[in-house]
Amino acid sequence: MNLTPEAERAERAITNPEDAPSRFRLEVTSAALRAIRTGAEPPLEYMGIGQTSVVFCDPHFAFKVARGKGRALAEEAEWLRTAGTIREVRPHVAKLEAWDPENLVIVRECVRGTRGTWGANKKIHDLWDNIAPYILAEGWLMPELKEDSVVFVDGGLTPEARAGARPLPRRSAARSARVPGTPVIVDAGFVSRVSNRLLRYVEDILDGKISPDEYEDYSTLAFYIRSEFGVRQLDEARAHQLLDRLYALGARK
Amino acid sequence: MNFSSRRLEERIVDPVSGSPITEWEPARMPDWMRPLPDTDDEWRAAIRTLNAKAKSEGSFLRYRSVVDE
Repeated sequence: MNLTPEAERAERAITNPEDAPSRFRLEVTSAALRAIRTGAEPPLEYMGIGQTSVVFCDPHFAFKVARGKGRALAEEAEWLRTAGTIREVRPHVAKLEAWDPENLVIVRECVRGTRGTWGANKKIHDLWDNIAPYILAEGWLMPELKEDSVVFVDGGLTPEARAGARPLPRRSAARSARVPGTPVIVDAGFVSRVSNRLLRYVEDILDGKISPDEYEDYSTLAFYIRSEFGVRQLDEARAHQLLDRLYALGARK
Repeated sequence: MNFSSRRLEERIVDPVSGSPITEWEPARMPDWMRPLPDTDDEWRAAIRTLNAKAKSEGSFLRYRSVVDE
């Protein structure tokens, strides 16, 4: 197949195309093209491909490019933005630089280090457990937990980390600078809004300010809200108002 | 016009922006498009259907017809 001149330039910008599975060649090329449109400066290092996105690093930042339409990356960007505002969480999350809604590209810090594996499983679970309460307080659940969603920042694992120390020492958690071996979440995929943040989201949909994901019909949104009663802090009067609006639009009870 | 000189072409586009990734290349006519369209209007309808089907199936292929000079 003959690439267009623009796609050919994007493909040539990738320094390690051999690392991408060959069956995804064209998709990786088109992702590189959109990363460049978002502002990536070649050369681009291919970092990986997942269910929802392709990731590159340029000399400054990482570019996470959506593989299709949908709100998955928009939500991840919103989650990263929130996480970056929480002092205790910030050192453990890749810093969001920008979200490009037109090209569906997250621009974030490119975290260099050792990718998490099964061997670091306990440290990664501990990380999730330790920061979840802070995230929950902001109306989010934690991302899907995968070992390779975490990078232990360069310098590799510290001797303490290798010996099985807690991955989130309280002192370093509060620092903005990271010590080598700090686990950092680079993939915050499949996050869910809860409590009053969820109510704001549904309200924005009903007010026509945002479009829901294609699978989020009125019944699904009503189900989300009903699931929050008695589980988390919730403005119940507002929740009931929103449910009434959803039922009036045909949501199943 | 002799419509037998019309043929189908395809290319791959970016799933989000719709920007072309590959140049137009000859494509095989799908079986359901036989017998071949006779008129310009039939060709236009067939191409519309092909592209709508490709989009709905999440395919990144897009189609057009061209007339050989």
